[in-house]
Amino acid sequence: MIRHLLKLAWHRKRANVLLLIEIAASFLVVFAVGAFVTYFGGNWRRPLGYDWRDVWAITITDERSGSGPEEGEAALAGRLVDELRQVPGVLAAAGVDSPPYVGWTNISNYDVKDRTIVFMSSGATVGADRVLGLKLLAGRWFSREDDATPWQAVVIDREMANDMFGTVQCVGKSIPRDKGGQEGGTLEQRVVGVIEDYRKDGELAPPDNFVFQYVSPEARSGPSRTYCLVVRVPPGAPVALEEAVVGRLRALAPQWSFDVNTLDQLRTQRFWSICTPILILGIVAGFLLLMVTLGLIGVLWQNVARRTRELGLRRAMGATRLGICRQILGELVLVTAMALLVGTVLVVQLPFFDAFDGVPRPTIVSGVLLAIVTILAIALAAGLYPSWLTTRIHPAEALHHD
Amino acid sequence: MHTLKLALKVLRRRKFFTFVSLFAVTFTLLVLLVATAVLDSAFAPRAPEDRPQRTLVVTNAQAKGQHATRTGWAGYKLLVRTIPNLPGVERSALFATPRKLTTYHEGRKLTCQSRRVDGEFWRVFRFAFLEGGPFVPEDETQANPVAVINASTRDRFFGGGPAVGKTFELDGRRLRVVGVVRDVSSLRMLTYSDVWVPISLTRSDGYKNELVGDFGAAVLLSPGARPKDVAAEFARRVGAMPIDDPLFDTLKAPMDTPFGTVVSTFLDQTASGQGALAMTYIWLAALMFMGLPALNLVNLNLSRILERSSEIGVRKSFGATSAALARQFLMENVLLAAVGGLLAAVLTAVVLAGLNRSGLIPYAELSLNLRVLGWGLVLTLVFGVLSGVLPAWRMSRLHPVGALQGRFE
Repeated sequence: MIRHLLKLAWHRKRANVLLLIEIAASFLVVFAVGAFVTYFGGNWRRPLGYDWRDVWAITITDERSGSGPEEGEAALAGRLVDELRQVPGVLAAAGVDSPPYVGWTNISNYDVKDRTIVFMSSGATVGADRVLGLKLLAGRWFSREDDATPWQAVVIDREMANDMFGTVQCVGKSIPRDKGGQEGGTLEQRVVGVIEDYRKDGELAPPDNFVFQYVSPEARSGPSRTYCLVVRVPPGAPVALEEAVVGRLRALAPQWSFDVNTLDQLRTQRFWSICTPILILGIVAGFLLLMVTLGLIGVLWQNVARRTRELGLRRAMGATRLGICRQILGELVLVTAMALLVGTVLVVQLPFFDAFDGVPRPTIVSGVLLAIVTILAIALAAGLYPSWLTTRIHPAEALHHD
Repeated sequence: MHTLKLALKVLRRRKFFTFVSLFAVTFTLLVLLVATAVLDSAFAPRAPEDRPQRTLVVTNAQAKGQHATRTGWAGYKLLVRTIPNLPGVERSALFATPRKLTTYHEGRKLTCQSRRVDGEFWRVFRFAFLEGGPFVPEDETQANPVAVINASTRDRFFGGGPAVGKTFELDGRRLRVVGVVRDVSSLRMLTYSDVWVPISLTRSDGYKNELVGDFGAAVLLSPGARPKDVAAEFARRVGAMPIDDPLFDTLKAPMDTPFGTVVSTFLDQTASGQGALAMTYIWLAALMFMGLPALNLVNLNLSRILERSSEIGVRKSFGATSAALARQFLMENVLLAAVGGLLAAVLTAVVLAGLNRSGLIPYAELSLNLRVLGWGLVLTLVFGVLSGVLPAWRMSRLHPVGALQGRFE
């Protein structure tokens, strides 16, 4: 049967090649949208690692350059945190360089034995775990006892612990890096706690290696300043509280600008900044597919009409209606399958291009599967009416045609 | 005229095919027209950037050393040493990137974008002032707390009444309004903001020592000056700048057209002449996007050859040339594209109005002007030809005898 269908398809190769290209192109469109949706959808279901409700992030900007505070002004940042804790209505406050949803990240790497571990890092002070609602899996968060130790305390997230030690039970171990590793100078860094994956860029981002480095108020070592303050407030805190907070901060550090955002706001912004382009892409792709479906219906309809005599002859020779119907759909599925093959072969090349480095393999696989199912469904839907038309063909009438 | 009538008849006879074709054409052109309108709103000559042909811009800079690279907007020091007195330049302006600032006003929180600019900025770019006027270079040298605000900011702070002479508080500082301008779309990367203040109005002057920072410059060429010469002289000056930071030993800052400068952010920040490359990419993207719908129409039209084979056979037998037939089929397609284009223009107007109202792009003023419509016409023609040529060619080549018999391959 398949060989017969192949022969039929080959006879009309010129028309079929164009059809094949069209279906393959639609496959690529569905794949692109599908890959995005499965990727972000998969990330959405993972644990987030913090609680964004009723938290403010206060970004400090030095007016000099539009960047963060200069080195050596950590003591001042430390005093700002103390000041914030005094404001009535503030439940907790701390300093964190890279709070959730805030744009910038510090990316560094350790050379460990024969491989390089890339991670995001952020300075953090005592109490940041309480403000952000970080979930400890093992050990503890920073405390003042970390001031007196000859090593720098770090808290790492689950992904980092698994990547580096293969387990989350790694409290007390020091980070095994080669001499000359790029981050943190020569000071030994020792893990004091492990937290749930800290997905700084929010629900849509993948879990990533993350390291919190202890920032002492005296800026003894390691990162010596915090770019951002985080504050936990009661639900529905009024604007007046924000005004009071900013007033206190300005009085203490007049050379800095302060930008207060609720994490809720930042979260919404980040969500839409990722979802708006995908939504537009999705709408456009949806219309493209609708158009392709209508076009396919037209092509198949025409096909059936053109072959009335052939099909009528087959009916006269004893083929059943179902058989004819199956033949038409079979031919369609054959062309579609070849197009899907072409498309899949193209997509599988993707990981070899640098631009798609960040796309994980499972995403590509699920994107391909989703696209195959969608395109097959569309092809069958398009073929339904035309193939039903063939069952209306009356042999006598068909042979009479023209 | 005869071909036109014929084409109309054919289109009316097969309603389903006409509908599918129209749908494809309209939708494709709708998407392309919206994209064109966005590009037009961002780059076409319009106040305040109404002289892009005479303007050259520097925004990107890169300092490079063996172990470190710093890329960003240009620094104040780099620009203030290289931009003034360029030969062939009539006026030059320095401006910073906008920064988000907050204020608390009668129990409400107000945020605005604030951009620091010099006094010449207002003469290189020509804003539409609703009241008052720009601040002047003396405000810059004396760091006067003055501000030009846009109409929306006037509404938010002063309830829409006249604002010149009144003061408001922003980021803990009291500013006096000297002028109110019409809103500038946020797609205008070089000029848009809510509030414009003098560059010197800042709490510290560390910015004065930066080679890479958050500043840009725009120069207005004298009539007759060649942009290439000005850019070359600027590049020479940048190359001759002493670099006092031991981390870095080379400095780059391309001077380019406003379009080239803005798009280079997405391509290569350190090169000039990115405008042509960007246009190539834009056309490629447009053609690729047109590809699938065009293929869809090609397939549809090809499959209709049989249905029309007797028509073709008869016409050929009676002496119609292949060229005449090809013309007829092309005309059918162009007619479809034209009707689709018209529909697309109407729908685009609706979509643009929706986008303007949605607030997706702050101060968006997307509109369907003559320039956009002209591009729409070009795109319509390209699409009509793209989707019509192959079927028309195939149909016109049918052999009359075979066609009459219903054989056609």
